[in-house]
Amino acid sequence: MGIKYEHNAVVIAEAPKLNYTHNYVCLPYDYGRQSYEDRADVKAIKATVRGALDDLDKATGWKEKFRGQKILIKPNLVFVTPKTGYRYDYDIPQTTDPRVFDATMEVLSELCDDIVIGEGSGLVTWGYAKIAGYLRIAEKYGARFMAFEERPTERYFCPKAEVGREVYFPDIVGEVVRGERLYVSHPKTKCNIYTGVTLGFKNSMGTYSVNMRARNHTYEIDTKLTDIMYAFKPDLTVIDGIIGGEGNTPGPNDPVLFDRIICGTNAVEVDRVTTELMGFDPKESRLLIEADKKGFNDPDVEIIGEKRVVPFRRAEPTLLSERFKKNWPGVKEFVGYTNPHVPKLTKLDGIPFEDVFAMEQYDRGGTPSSLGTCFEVFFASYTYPLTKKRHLNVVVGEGAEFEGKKYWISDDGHAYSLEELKELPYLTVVVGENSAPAKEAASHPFFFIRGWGEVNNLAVRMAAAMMPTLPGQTDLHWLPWIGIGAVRKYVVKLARAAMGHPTDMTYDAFRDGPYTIPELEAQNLDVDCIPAPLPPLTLKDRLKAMKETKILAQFLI
Amino acid sequence: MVAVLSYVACIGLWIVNTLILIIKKNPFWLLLLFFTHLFELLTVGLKTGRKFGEKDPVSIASCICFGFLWWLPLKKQMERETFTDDDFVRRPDDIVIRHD
Repeated sequence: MGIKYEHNAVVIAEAPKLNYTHNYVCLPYDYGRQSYEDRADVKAIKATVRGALDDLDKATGWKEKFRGQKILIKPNLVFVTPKTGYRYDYDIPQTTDPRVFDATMEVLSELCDDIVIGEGSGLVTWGYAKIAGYLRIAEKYGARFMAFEERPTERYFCPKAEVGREVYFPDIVGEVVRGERLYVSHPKTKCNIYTGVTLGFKNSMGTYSVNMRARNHTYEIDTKLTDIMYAFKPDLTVIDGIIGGEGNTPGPNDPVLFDRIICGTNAVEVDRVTTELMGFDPKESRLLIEADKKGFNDPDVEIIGEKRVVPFRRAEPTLLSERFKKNWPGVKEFVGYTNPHVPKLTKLDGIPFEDVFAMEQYDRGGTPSSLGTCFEVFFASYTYPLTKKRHLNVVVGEGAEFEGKKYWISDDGHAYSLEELKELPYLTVVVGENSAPAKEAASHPFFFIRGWGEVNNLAVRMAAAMMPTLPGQTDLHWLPWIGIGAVRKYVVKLARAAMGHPTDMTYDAFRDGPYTIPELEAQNLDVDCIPAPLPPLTLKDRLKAMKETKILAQFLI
Repeated sequence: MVAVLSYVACIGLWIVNTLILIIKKNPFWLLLLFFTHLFELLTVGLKTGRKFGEKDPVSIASCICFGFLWWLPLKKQMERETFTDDDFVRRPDDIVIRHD
């Protein structure tokens, strides 16, 4: 499915060295008017994007393949956070720069009439699209904007996938999977706490139906993300590298002047080049290693442009780093796992820090990263001065076994039994589905925080543990749109469930490994992805789907 | 933060004035708030909303509810986002932030 290019290329286009720091998160009020078009930054961005896409066309002929086709283009909308959301005096660069996206849309709209801008931020996509100006972009080019979480879900089987064998996508993504619509990935150059970087094909995480995202959102995250490419691959990838984001995204990150657009026809190769330009070794990227292993790369790709490296600050998916300890001196982590991937516990004291760190990092795609995101939000909050010395115990993992008993190890190398954890001073939270053996150590049942990848649930409960802390987005100029977006999402999801077209699967992300699919016939085993339509919903099913629709998170009331 | 508190205060003002109307049968404070906001709407609110690109019904509802708390930030945003070519010249003190 999708376009098969005879020759793949990656283009690195340098933008003129201007000040691009105005409106890199939200479009200005005069977007669409002549005063906007006359801005020096807008003109430079448009020229750079057009030049990059023209160069790519000369190398690959992508434009001819796109002409007259239906397109789904997906930006990366995370928290759209203007300056006043946090205590920082700059915009948080988490979202594809709408000026860059507008420039890409200008080129695409010359080739195609049916363009859908689609995204599933996992939170309130419509509200963020409104705030950032994506709804205005859609209106300008006669495109439709679709929030994926509001679309009916469809099921597919990917027999070759390692963990993502049964997958659920919104119907508009289903059109891409079935080859009826081309897919353009338009992410931002950013570090990511779960996967190191988030670029062209990692952007596809947002194409899942929401509860699907939580499945295998653990140490298996790289496998899961590359598995998506059995269902569909980007036909074109355009990376917004005008202002990048470094640090612990999706927590508040810091802007980096990167000054370029990177685009290409093979997403894995575009990501490899961009990873290198960000100062990271692509050979160490587990995402790229997985993608190469599955053959989604193209060793013969042509790279056009200069590889100028701008080092980004690495994301730290840990509560054990020097930076974390400096920012949160009162937070103490206790970590314990027992499996072949982590060091075996051989003593109860003097355990090397490297072993504790290795144990914590085992679940990098899950709990430590989600916790790191939460603490980054609290760090950026106006309330940080009130909470920075807060004492909190955080217990993670099912426990490391030693002589038939389970222990959780702190960074000072001492192993604590469940009884000892229960006696700890200060508040204790137990985080992660797999941490259930330690749940009695939680200071209150509310502070045993279930669910892999259920970040909203985690964030609310962690915020309660760290009271008084405020999340970002405290500017009421924007907050009403988030509120309206949340209510809109809830109502749409309820209505669709009632009509028998639920927008999501039942939340079931409680274990590792592949989710079972029925025995397939021989001819289906050799294909990358096959539709697996859901049976029509009975009245009871509809009521269940309505009951499962939550305004914020699965495990909250 | 100031914006949050001021919006909350404004909503509180509407509630208090409505309670005064209901309990003490005194419409003065509620009408004062309404006509103040109406005056703002007619003199500056609608004009600001149109220049900003808001639809008239949105401007009317927002200005009647929040008065200057609504239109003043828009006015300030428009001032902030009115640029000259000099604003786009790269300078050494352009953002370089490291929360190391």
